[in-house]
Amino acid sequence: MGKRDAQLVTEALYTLVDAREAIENGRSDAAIDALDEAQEVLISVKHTPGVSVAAASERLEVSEPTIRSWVKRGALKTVPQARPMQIEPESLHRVNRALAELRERGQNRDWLQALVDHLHDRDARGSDALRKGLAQLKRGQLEPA
Amino acid sequence: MPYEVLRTPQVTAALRRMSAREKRSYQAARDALRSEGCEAGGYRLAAADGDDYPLCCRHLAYAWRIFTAFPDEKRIVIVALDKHDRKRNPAADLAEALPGLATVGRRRSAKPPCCEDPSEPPAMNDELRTFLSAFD
Repeated sequence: MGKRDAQLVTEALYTLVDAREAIENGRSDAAIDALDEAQEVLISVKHTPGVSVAAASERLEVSEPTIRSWVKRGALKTVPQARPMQIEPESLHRVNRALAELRERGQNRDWLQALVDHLHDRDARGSDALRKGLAQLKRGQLEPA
Repeated sequence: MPYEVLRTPQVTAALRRMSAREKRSYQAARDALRSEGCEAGGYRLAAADGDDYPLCCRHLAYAWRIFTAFPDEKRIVIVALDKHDRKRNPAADLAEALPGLATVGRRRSAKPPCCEDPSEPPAMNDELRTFLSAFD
């Protein structure tokens, strides 16, 4: 990191301290202004377009294989052509919010059970073996069991 | 009343990948279907909209499972036999993210049975009826 970027990060850090103080004093408008300012400063610092799988894993509190699984399922978006893989911040934010909601609702065991059952059944209906078997059924390829 | 139990080639192929013990669990399920009909079908799958799906799923030894369809009152088709891949299981992904999910597990009793009465197997929908028309 160059000297100018380092100075900008320091500036953003101080602005975040201002934001914290504003929140502690109940001045939410001032806190939001300070956060906007810190964000603007940090955006001007050279940074990657996405976050690493490890960082996403830490943020969402799930393992790295789960992050990769969610990318494969399309729940998380990746930055095109980024190698190694980077997660788009916007999609990370969206999933983080959704997870917070699920975690809150998850306190209700019946709701959680219904969710688990729904996911299990959706997985079963999409099984490759079942698709193949149904296609064979369609062709009348049947034999005694 | 004995039922005619048929299977697709997918099932035959999958059987070759099973161990002796796993095969015995398949044979036990098949025999139960033959004598008890849809009552031995396990549980009814749910459709995406939450309604019942016209297929049943019965768990076998380890992670194996069979899917059954009921073209009419006398015939049962084991449509597919496969091993549940836990790595591909979306519920397993969520279990990691949601506290309590793993300990709740699955209450099989909460799943609707394949059927209440063997004389009334799950009705086929139009899609599966079309599939089955090929051998009627």
